[in-house]
Amino acid sequence: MSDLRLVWNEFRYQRRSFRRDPQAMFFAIGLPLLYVVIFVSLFGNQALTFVYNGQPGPLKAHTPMLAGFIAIGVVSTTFFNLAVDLVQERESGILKRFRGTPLPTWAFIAGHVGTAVVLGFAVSIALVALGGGAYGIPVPLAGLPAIVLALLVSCAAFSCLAFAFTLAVRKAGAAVPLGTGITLTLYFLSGNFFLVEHPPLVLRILGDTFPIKHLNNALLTPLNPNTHGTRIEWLDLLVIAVWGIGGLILALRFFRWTPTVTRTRAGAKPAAQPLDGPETAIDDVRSAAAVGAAGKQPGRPLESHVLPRNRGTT
Amino acid sequence: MRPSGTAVAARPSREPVATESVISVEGLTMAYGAVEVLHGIDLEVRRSDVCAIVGPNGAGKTTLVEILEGYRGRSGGRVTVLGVDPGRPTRAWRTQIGIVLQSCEMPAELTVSELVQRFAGYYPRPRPVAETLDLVGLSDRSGARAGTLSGGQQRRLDVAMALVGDPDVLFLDEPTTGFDPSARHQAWSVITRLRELGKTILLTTHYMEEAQALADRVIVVVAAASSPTQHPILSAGATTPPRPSGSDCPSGSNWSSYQRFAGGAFELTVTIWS
Repeated sequence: MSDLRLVWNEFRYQRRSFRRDPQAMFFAIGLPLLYVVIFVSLFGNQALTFVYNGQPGPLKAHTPMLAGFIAIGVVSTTFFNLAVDLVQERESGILKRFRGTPLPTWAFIAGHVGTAVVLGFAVSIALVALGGGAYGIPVPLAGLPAIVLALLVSCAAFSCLAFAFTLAVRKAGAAVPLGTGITLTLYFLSGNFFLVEHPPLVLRILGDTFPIKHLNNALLTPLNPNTHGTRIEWLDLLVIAVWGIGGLILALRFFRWTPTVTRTRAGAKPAAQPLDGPETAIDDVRSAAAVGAAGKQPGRPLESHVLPRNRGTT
Repeated sequence: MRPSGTAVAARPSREPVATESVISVEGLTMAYGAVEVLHGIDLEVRRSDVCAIVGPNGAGKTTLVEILEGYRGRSGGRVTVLGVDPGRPTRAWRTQIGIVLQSCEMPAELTVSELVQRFAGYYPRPRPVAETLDLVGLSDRSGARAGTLSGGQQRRLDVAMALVGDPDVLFLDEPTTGFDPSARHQAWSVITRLRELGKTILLTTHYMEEAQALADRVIVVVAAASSPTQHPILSAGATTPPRPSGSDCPSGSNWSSYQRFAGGAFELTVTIWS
């Protein structure tokens, strides 16, 4: 089987798994749609009386809201869902099972990222259709290329960050609360739920540091009917890409396939780590093993008894 | 340090076994910090052999198997599986081995046939999915979601996923732990069919009777405090006491061997390292 077919194989079954998981479908697609219905119904028709994030006006509240909820949809599908899935699959031994096959790491990651990108686009299309169709939010055709570019960059970047996120979570049960806590905090810091003219300086700096606010802006500019030109926010896309590359580097270096609980036995740090990391980890194993061998206790080793069977013959 | 002088008989129902070594372990040691889990394990498994590793929880069975599967590093010793050091696993090597982990959940949303088909996609020359499901007795559940299977059926699905790549070597880590007697005997019949296919199988188990029923060779990994002469596999059914014999011991090693006789016939040789 060619490598491309391997990726397709992964993509096909991962997509199918997602489609059959109603809980994941709700969190990834249902929840952002619900946000649009609630927030745009309540506040969408209010005209903004201030210049929001330097965007040219006049602007109604529903336009930045739609951009913010598309960003939430992208982050939900490509970061939150993917990260939770990966942690749960790792801790239940599913990733370890895959690791024992000839499936290359890159094909596994490509299948996951491909699935996340498709889902990110699907939820974005659903949100734009709902916003435009049900609430009359304008979607300038000239801004579509900039929206597609922002979605491509952000889906890839947040997928890489999802792999990096798994490094910080050691228990399957902690993935959802930790992921929810991080994303919800960043949504508030980035203005996804509330449009504030002058947020406190500290909060503004924090929002500018993380990538979600930049995704909001990269989507808002092409959705704003008052903007012109390519509408591509290159600087925002650069910040998102830098975050994604950082996540990718961490994932390639430290991503684990085996359950975290197997890393320790009897409360001791193992002298030899599981061989599920990158190639350099094997060297670490060897040097750690040498330390372990040097410190070996002579007393009470285990024995092996070998019993070749000889059934009824002499 | 292998018990090279000990006899290994082929099962009467099988063709004469090849002498080619598929798994070779010499002086394997593994330590977690100061805690030594494996101390000088020696082992050789030949092509088409079924080898069982028996021992209590914490004896190091899974550690040993995971080292052989390429999941875990080691502290010392030489290990090869199909001529390759599992500490440096390659993609080509992985196409030749099949693994059933001690415990593993399945992606619950996929069906039995979809999961086996997905795994078949990873191998260059997979077995037909329908034939593989038939082999493990899951043909009638091929359309069922993995999450709806019983524990025994999930284990058989796990075996099917390990087998669909048509590997030369199969590692089965406690394939029947937690099963009721009926499910255990079903699993035994699956393993018997795999043996008839000529697969080299290394399995771990808690159950002595399972090892005796399935394996050509048994390796017992126990704590040093146990007396080998009092070990169940030696005392059960023995009509004469085990007698020590140093004739098979390689020079310079600290081990001795015991033989068990039953009904006047030689049954087992036990080699103990310390």
